[in-house]
Formats: sequence, structure tokens, C-alpha cells
Amino acid sequence: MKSNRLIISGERAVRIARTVIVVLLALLVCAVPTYSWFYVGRRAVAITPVSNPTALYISAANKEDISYLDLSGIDVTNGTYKDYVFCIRGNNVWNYMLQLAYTTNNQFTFEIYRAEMTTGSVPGSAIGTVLYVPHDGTADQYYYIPNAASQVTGHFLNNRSGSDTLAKDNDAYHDDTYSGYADTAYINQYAEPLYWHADTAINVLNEDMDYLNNFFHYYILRVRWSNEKQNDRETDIIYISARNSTS
Amino acid sequence: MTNGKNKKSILILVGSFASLVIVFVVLLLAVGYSFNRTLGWFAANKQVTADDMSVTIYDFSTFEIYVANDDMTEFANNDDILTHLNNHENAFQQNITSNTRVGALCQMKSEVVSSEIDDDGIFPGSYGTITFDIIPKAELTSVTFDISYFGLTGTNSGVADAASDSLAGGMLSGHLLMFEDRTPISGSDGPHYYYSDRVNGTYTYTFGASPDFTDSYGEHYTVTLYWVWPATFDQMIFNDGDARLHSRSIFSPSDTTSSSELQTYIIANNEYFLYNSGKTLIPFLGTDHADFELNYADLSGEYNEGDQLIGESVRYVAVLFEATANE
Repeated sequence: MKSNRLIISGERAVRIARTVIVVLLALLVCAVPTYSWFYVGRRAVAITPVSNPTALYISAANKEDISYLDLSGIDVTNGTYKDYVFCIRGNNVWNYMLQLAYTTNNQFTFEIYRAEMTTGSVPGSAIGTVLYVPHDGTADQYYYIPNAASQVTGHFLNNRSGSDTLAKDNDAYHDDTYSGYADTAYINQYAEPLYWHADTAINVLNEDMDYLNNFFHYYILRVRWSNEKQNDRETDIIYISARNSTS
Repeated sequence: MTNGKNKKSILILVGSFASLVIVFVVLLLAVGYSFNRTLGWFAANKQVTADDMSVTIYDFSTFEIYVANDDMTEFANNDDILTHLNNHENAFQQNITSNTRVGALCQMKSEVVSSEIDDDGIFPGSYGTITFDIIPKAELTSVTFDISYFGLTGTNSGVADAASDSLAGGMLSGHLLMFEDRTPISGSDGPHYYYSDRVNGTYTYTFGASPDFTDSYGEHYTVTLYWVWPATFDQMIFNDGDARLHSRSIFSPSDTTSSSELQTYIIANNEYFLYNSGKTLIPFLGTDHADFELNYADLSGEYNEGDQLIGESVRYVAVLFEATANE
């Protein structure tokens, strides 16, 4: 029979069909997985996380504005110390370090104690009390030092040896304080700041924080004198600093 | 076998063969359209779009952007972040199910670690590099990148949503400055750099000689850009040695071009740099950047508020580079 059609017998046809199917399937299988590594393109994105900003503030008692922190009214003829309340508050801070820097015109020493607040009457076992009259109309508040262990211990960074009321005038801290000032011979020794640093950072506990990670801690700054006998109207400047710390 | 039976077999055979081919071709086309730019072998490297008036052909065969080590597991395996990069207008598309991606993902490498900050994010004072490669596939003179910033916010469950049009998003382009060059400067307070040739929205990488595209995958040409988040406003407006500057300037004292360029830009675009708690910005008191000293303390405070706004609103910052080839 004359024919120009290709005639394949049944068995051979099946074999051809199978081969073709297998080849096509193989090609298909090869095609899909290669795209998984082929991720280049016309765009690039550079990405990085941004840290949470930390907020750390110093306030007066009752978390009121720092302008209400009033270190006045010291009468050295009456007793041996006077207490003032301040507050460290903030957000997203888990540890902070307290520092003091002050001039030494008055022969004062300073101590810092962690304080508790109470309204109304003062607990009988309290050690010292400080009265604060709030400016927001709430009831008067009393702050007290819970116990001796609540003192924030620390150390001087630049005191003259043997003294806790006078700063060195010839060390690295002197150079840092007065860098750029040409003639340091004319600096009054009592104007030279004395630096005090807490020994360890204060931890902010989970129970101190609200649901937005805000917290506040009260402290009592105890201004103590021993050698002062009269009110001689000297003035000092004191800096209280709190610094975020990782441990 | 009879002819009839043979014909029947052949018809069956031809029928099944034809249907297989049709299925295969349809599959190829489907695959081709969904991975339109990565389908190299089986379809043309061209995508055709048509609108009512004309047909435009995008030719994706001339270059590619490539990141050598796409092993930033924090991002490459974070479906949340990739989804939101995907959803961002004009971004970076990730096909999460098949792990294919149009676009390269790289890290804004930060070179600064702070003793005060526990997490691995960037903060005012951070600086670092952005690096990726261009692989030319054809004769090109240069590749131009359009650069834009956007932020992803964080939520309690970790899901990020784009915040690109917010005030914080605009603030990113002012606070995260990008430069083509930086010079290391030694100092007692640690490594520091002076920056020059600010990148302002576009950056063009010019190939020196004819780019080498002779091997099948092309030669890699590395783009490196330097970014810096100045901690304080005065680092951008005063030079080292000025008593008002409490840290290091980002510009060399001898490079008056770079510093005046940025300062002119700040004056014209102060909404990208300054923030005043939602109130009207304190006006710049002057006509020239030399007048910054008239009320730079106020402006400095507003710059810090801008930093705070970024930190509070944005969890991730992303810089998008969209490239086009110039032949």
C-alpha cells in the first residue's frame, strides 16, 4: 500500500509515547526547581532594625517637674542633715547608673537613699521623713527611707586623699572638666567639681513598670554637714545624673 | 493487524501526544507569566505590557543586582518582614511559597555598638555601609539607582506594617544620610569618618571601561555606599574645633563644598530633619547656612525630637534602590 503517512505499529507506538512522556516530564521537573535560587533582580532593599529610644528623666517628688526640686532651706545650726526627694523616671530603661557632681563651697557630704512614698501618716518604723506638698492638688505626701539597705552606695572619682569634701585639682578629671580653659591656676579649689559615682547600676524591675514600660523610682538626697557651725550663705551647685546602662 | 486498528492506535497516540504537548506548553506559559523576570530558558526575557495606546517592552536582560551572601537569616526567613516589604508600594516582591524573589535583600551594616543599648538596632550616632553587586549582561555605560526610604512599624505580635508616608518615614531621609565617600580620621574617642559626595535620591554607578559580560553570568561590580545617622544637629553644621560642637563633625574642615551643600538642603527641607512635637517648626533665623548659629540650639532640640520620633514610630528602616540601565 502506498502511503505517505508514517505508520507505527501499536507496540512501538506505545514505547515512543512512553519515552516522549518521560522526556517531557523530566524537562518539566528540571524547569521548576531552578527558579528557587535565581533571586536577583532590578531592585535591592537594605534593611536594618532601629533601636528603641530610651527616655530617662529626673523629676521632683510626686513625679512633678524638675523645677519643683528645691534644695533650699538648709540650716546648719539645726540638726546634722536635711533630706530632699527626687524622682528618676523613664521608659524602656532596665538599668541606670546614678552620679553626682557638686562644688564644695559648703562642707557638705551627700548620701542617696531609695525612698518610698506614703500619703497621710508616716509608718512607725520609718527612718526619717520628708514632707512634700504636691502642686497638683493631691494630698500631702511623706517620703521615707525604708531601711539602711536602701542606701545607694558609691565612691568618689576625684577626691583629694583623706578628704570627702574637696576635689583634686591635678588629675585627669580636672583636665576633662576644664579642657579648653587656658589658665587653670586661677580656678578656685572649692569650685572644682567633686564627682561621685554609684557602685552598681539600679535595676528597674518588671513590677516597677506599667504596661507601656514607664517606671519611676523615688530617692532621698541627704545633705549632711559636720564641720559647719554657722550659716555663712555659701552656694554650691549639684548635678544629679542618671544614665542608661546595659547591666 | 488491520489498518483500521493501526489507524485507531495512531490516532490515540497522536491525540495523547498532542495533548501532552499542549499541557506542557500551557504550563510553560503559566510559569513564565508568574515568574516573569526569572524565566530565563523557556521564554523570552521580555515582558510586554499593553495599554490602550501603545505597547511597551521592558527588557530585563541588560543587568542584575546581586547580593553575595543572602544569608541575613533574620530578614530572609522572616515571613512577616518579607510580606510587608512585598506589600509596600514599588517594593521588592517576595513569593514566599516558592522562595523566589524579585530583588536582592541586603543589610544596612552598622559598625557601631553602644554600651548603653542592648538590641542590635541602629540609633543616632550609628554609621555603616550598604553593599551590593551589579552584574552587567550587556554593553552599559552606567546604572542609575532611585533611592527612597521607608519604615516598617512594629506591633506587639512582631508584625510590621509599612509606615512610609508618615512623618517618621519622611524623617528617615533627613536623619539617615548617605554618601559616596568617607575618609577615616583617627581620634582619641574612637574611629570616626569625614563624609563627602552626598547621595540625594539618585546614585549613578558608572562602569569604568566596557563592563565585562563575556562569561555567561557576567562580572560582578560592587557598589558601596556609606550611611551615617548624625547624633546631633551640630555635627552637620559646625566643623571640628568649633567650641559649640561637643562631638565630631561629619565633614572635614577643609571640605566646604560638602558641608554647605547639606546645609543648604537642610534649610530647604527642614521637615525631613526637624520635629517640634507636632507643632509648627521653629523657623530658621537667617538666609544662609552661615546663619545657623543664630538659633541652632532650638533647631538642635528639634533634630533630637526627630530622632525620638523615628525611634518611637519605626521598628525597621529600609532603603529601596530601584535601578535602571543606561546604555
